[in-house]
Amino acid sequence: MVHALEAVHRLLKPNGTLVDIRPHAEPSILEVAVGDQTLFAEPKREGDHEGVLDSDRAMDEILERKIFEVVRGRDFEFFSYGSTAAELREFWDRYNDYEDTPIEEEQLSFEDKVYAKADEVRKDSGKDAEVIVHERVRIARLKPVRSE
Amino acid sequence: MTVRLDPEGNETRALFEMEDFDGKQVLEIGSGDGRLTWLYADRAEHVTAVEPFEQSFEQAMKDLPPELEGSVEFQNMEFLDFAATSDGAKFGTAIFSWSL
Repeated sequence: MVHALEAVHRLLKPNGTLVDIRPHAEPSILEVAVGDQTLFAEPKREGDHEGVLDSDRAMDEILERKIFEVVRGRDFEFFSYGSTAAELREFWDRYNDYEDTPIEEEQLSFEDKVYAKADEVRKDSGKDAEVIVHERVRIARLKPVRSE
Repeated sequence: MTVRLDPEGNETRALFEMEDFDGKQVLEIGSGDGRLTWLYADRAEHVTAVEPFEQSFEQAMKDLPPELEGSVEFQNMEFLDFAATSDGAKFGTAIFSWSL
């Protein structure tokens, strides 16, 4: 990851910009809601943030070495909506299919239970209920600060 | 119903707060199926979008809007391989798209 950031530095014009979009190293929240009313909200998965933490460490090193500097940044909320828990889960599983690291059995079992609980709440909450994955994401604008 | 992603536009708003893409040569790293690319590509002069996962790359190629053909170029490779074969300092903007 450090090498990737160094490569970006080389490929950017001196006055160029790096935009980094990354989820926080925390579990996404699985929610069930009807309109603005949240009926269920629990962490989707325990642990499993090593990839994001690796990215955080790589970025820290790059900032420490003054290869890039953060000009500004902020958090935003990213929501994905499905009509059932199964639909949403299948979508995200397919979307994240590229991940090399298999999900540990314990995490998978935890996730099975959370999705099952969410779907029970959804079924009891009428046809307008939606299942939502809620993620907190950070976005930052960075500038290259020196030539390598 | 199909899955809806960020219907509130929170990501789009944040992206445009961070960068003005008008007329820029953009490098997007980890472009996936092009979900983020489609948000800004019509503003950029040219987008080079690098995605190592073949399935996502193929989806992006399939979804490429006709009006962006010629200005968006997808590369199916690891970013470091792309970087190793690229001449330096030609991009005005680089984006790590949920991919660092």
